[in-house]
Amino acid sequence: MTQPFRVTPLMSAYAYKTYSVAAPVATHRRVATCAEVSCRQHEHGWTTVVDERTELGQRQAHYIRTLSGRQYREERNVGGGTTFAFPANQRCFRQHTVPLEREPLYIVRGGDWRGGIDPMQHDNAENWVDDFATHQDRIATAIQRG
Amino acid sequence: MAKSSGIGWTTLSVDSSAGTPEAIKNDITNFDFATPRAVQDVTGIDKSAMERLLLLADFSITLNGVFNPAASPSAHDVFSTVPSSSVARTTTMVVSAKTLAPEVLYTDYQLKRNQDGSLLWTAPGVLADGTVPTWS
Repeated sequence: MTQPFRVTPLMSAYAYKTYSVAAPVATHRRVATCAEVSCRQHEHGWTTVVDERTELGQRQAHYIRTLSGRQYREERNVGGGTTFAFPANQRCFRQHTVPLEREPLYIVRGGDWRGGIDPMQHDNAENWVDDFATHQDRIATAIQRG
Repeated sequence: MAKSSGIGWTTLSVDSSAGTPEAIKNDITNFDFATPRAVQDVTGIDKSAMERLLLLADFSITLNGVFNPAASPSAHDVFSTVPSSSVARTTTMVVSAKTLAPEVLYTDYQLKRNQDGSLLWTAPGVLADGTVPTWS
């Protein structure tokens, strides 16, 4: 993945320590219905415009007409496109997820976003916060002393 | 009394560009907070290095999550204004009943669509006010 725009840290990666809380999608989220997440397409309906002059558009239109199982109204546009208008109260084309009520992973490791070493996982939130708070207090105290 | 879930990480909210905190924990899959490694790394060396520690870029934060285009509160509602505004945003984390609330200047809001169709985002930022964030 291309790195997003960041302010480059002043010291090298080994001079930093990273505290993370992680709730990975694979283990900490589940697929949800449109109604569960108050999906706007589900609540109000939506339109999908496809260009059937292209192969991609033909495939999309074929999927909507024969495989999607959704209700729709079809309209040909002047420019060559096809507008499919989907009424409300049916599943949209996106897959929604919601978090599971599961404790996230509390991780401490050396380094920063440029690279990391020695990841360590705390058993619970208290220990992670205690580790993090002690670390930050040490730095704050050192800066106050000058 | 309200039922408690027992989950240690209870809150993550970030200010919108208007300064209104939005609870976006449900959209976040992980956050990283990078901080200087140890006091020993900086106390024994020369003064300019000590000053460097105080500079803003020495503390950085990265939030990652799943795309949610819903109206407020949502991560997209908060971060869609990152490219068009330059405001420090209070980022409040509550873990194990302790609060960390640094002022953060977010520098990007990157969206990525994966092969499996999932749409994920990343928002990196640096501390905006030079104060070492401490837990309370």
